[in-house]
Formats: sequence, structure tokens, C-alpha cells
Amino acid sequence: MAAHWKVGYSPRSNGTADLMWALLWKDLLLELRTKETLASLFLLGTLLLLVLSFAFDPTHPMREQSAPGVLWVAIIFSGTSAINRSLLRERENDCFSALLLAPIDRGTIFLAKTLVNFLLLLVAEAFLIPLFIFFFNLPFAHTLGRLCLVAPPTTLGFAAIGTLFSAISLRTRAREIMLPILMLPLASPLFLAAVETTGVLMEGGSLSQVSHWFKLTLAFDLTFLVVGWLTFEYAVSE
Amino acid sequence: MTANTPKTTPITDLLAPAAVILSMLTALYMVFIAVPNDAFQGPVQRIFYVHLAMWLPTFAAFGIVGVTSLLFLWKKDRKWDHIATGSAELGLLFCTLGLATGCIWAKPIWGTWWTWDPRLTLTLILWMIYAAYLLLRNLATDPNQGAVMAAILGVSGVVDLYLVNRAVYWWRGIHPAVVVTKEGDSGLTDPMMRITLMVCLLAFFLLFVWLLRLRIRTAYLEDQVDDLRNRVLVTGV
Amino acid sequence: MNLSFLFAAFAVVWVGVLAYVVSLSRRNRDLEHDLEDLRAVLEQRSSNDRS
Repeated sequence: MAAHWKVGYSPRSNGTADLMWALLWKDLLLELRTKETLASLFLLGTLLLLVLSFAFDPTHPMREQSAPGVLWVAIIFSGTSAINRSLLRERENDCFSALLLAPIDRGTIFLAKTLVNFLLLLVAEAFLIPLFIFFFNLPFAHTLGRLCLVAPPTTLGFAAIGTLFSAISLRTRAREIMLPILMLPLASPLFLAAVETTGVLMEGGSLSQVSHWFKLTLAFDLTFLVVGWLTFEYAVSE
Repeated sequence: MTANTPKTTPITDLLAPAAVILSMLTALYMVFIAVPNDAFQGPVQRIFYVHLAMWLPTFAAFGIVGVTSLLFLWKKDRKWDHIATGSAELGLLFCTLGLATGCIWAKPIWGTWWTWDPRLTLTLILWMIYAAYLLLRNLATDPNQGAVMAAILGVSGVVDLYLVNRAVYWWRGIHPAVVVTKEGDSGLTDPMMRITLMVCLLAFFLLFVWLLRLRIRTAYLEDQVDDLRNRVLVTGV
Repeated sequence: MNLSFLFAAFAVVWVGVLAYVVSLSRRNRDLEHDLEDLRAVLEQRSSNDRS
């Protein structure tokens, strides 16, 4: 509710879904034309997989122990900079003020941006995960199937908290460093859940063994979608 | 302008430090002289009193940050922001000291400075959140915006606390813990030990309250200086 | 050996608290200084304007 106070119009009158779709389409079209976020996300992710393979020997028989951690660190760090870009790009092109001036509820802007980041991260993961399986020499279908269950809910929470805090870090000096510093401690339950679930499922554990982690991830997603929706207005208001 | 400053009458200015010093001296006396040695841990166990006393101010402070952040976002009154900043800074101070004394206690008793015990992990994450909170304030390009953004972080931190708590307990629950001993089990059998602990808790809580008052005053002063500086700049043109 | 740990713990606490108190009181003193200076500047300006 709080998110509507300042805008002074009823969001229903314009159709929140239409507005969200417009915002979503704008960003996706931009990405389709430039492919800059996806390209950098994918390259940075690959680079991290490579560098982390130096740290944790991927030919070691114990590689499966470190594999979930390697994958998620690669996704987290490449994803963090991609999310940072998504709002920074608006600001660099002076579109941010226009976006804020538009008669759109700030909560809707938040949800649209979160959805864009979620989709872009998923696409990048669709490339990174096979590469990860390839590098770590893991059973392909089994690992891919398990990761398809873990990745989307984790990525949703990551996109939500990342979008909220990238709006905040945008207004600080040292903004590239601020986003991970602000976000990662708060997102620790999400990543613990992702790494643990991935580890258990890759070792052949059943879904019921990790259902509590799934619930935690969903609770996290919901929490930060709501917190972001309610507070995004404060984060972006001049 | 001065109406904003909290009234610092000489009596409270003298009384607060006096109460802090008195309770601190009592606490020191109890910890070092009055209380008997722990049967298993020996003199090192005396660290425990001061270590435990750090957590009451820490959690009180972080709780205050959450509540005042919410009030600040809601009411937009600078007063709440002053209290939130002060609490965050003091919470971080006591949290740091609590972690440090905990490590120093753990080395002789557990044989290691650090274990990834859920409670330690949770505290470290808390420490990171509130360190980020203070850094955000310092790095914000506009102090007013910094206050609002920090308030969002303050609220998120409290909302997130339950999830972090569950996550670190499950995380450690799946792997066998290095050391199973819990701090709570160190067993304050002697009634004197319990009294000592109470006195320590009280002493450090009073210290926290006194420091918080001072710190809030600093925030008010900072506000006034900023205000006047703007006026000087405006009239100077 | 163990006593040195006890000493270290208390030293850490007291050094930490004292360092904070000192830095806080310095901050307060500096701010009060600034406040006085700024007030003086404003006062001077307003008296200049009047004359």
C-alpha cells in the first residue's frame, strides 16, 4: 500500500499487467538488440568457473564436493554485476528520471525490473550450467535435471534482492562494490540453500531430503519480493 | 535550532557516567575477586561474563535499528534516523567486542579461535549486515538519501534475520560440528556466578545506554552543522 | 598461559570501549566547534547586512 502514496493515482486504472509488460518488453528488446548483459554475464561466469577450477582442482576425485560451491559462486558474482548494470544503464542513458516521471507505480517498476533480471539470469544459467557440467565432468542429464529444480527459485530471490539493492547502491560512491556488500550478507540464506540443495541432489539425494531448503528459498523469494515492492519507492525517490 | 538538541542537564550528564562507572567497578570486582574459579575451565571462564554481557547491547541495538528504521520510513522524522544510526554503530561495536572475546575464550577452551558453529556464523553475518549499513551511510552521495536507503537496509536486516538463523542452523546441522559444546553448557553452578553475570549484563547495558545518548547527540549536532553550513552557503551567494 | 587469555579478553573490551568513547567525544567537540564558527559567520553576515 505504502508504495502508492506518493504517485497519487490508482494503479488499476492503467492496468498493472499492461504496464509491467511494457516495461518488461522495453528491457528485453534492448537486450535482444545489444546482447550486452547476456554476453558479459556469460563470459564473466565462464571466467569465474575457470578461475575457481584453479582454486578447487576439478580433476580431483572429491570434485563433486566443491562443484556446487563453484557453480553458485560463478553465478552469484557474474549475476551481481549484471543486476548492477540493469539499473545503471537506465541512469547512464538518463532514462531513469523519465521512468520515474512516468505515471507508473514504483512497486510495478520494481517487479518488472526483477522479472527482467530473473529472465536474463536464467538464460545465462542455461548456458553456464551445461558448461559447468562439461568442465567438472559430471553426469549430464542427471545434474541438469536436478539443477533445473534448484536454479529458478534461487534466481528469483537473487533477482529480487539484487534489484532492490542495486537501486540503493546506484546512489552511492563506489557503487560497483556496494551492491555485493549490501546484498550478499542478506542473501546468505538463499545461497546456503542453493549450495546445500545442489550438493544433496547431485549426490543422488531425494527431493524430500531438501524440502526444508526449498521452503526456505521460497520464503526468501516472497520476503524480498514484498520488501522490494513496498520499499522500492523510497529507494528511488529523489 | 537549539530546540532540537536533547536537553542535557548537568544532573543526567553526571549521573549516567557515574552509574556506568560504579556498576563497571562492581562488575570488575565480582569477575576478578568475588566469583569462584570454574571447576573445569579455570580462570579463563571469567571471560565468559564479559563476553555474554556484550550480546544484550548488541541485540538490543540491532532491534532498535529495525524498529527506528521502519518508523523513519513511515514518519520521515529525522529523530528516528538519529537513533537508528547511533544504535547501528554501537551494535557493531559491541558485536565486534563480543566476537573478539568469544574467539579469545574459544582458543584455550575449544582449542581453536573460530568454528563455524551456527551461532558464530549468524553473528558474523549480522556483523556484515550492520557494517554494510554504516558503510552505506558514509558512501551515500546525499545524506538524506543515505538515511532513507540505510533505513531500507535496516528493515530488511530484521526481516531477514529469521531466514538467516534457520539457514545457518540447518547448514551446520547436516555436517557434523567440530565441537558440540555449547556456551550455555558452561554451567553457572555457583549462585555467585549467576549474580556476577547479572551485574556484568547490567553494567554493559548501562554503558550502552549512556553511549547511545552521547551518539544520538552527535547525530543532532551533525544535523545542525549541515543545516547551518547550507545557510552560510545560501547567504554567501 | 590461560591468564594471558583472560587478560587479553578484558584488554580488548576496554581498549575498544575507550577508543570509541574518545573518538565520540572528539567528534562531539569538533562538531560543537564547527557549530560555533558557523553561528559566528552567520551573525557577522546579518550584522553586515544591517549596517
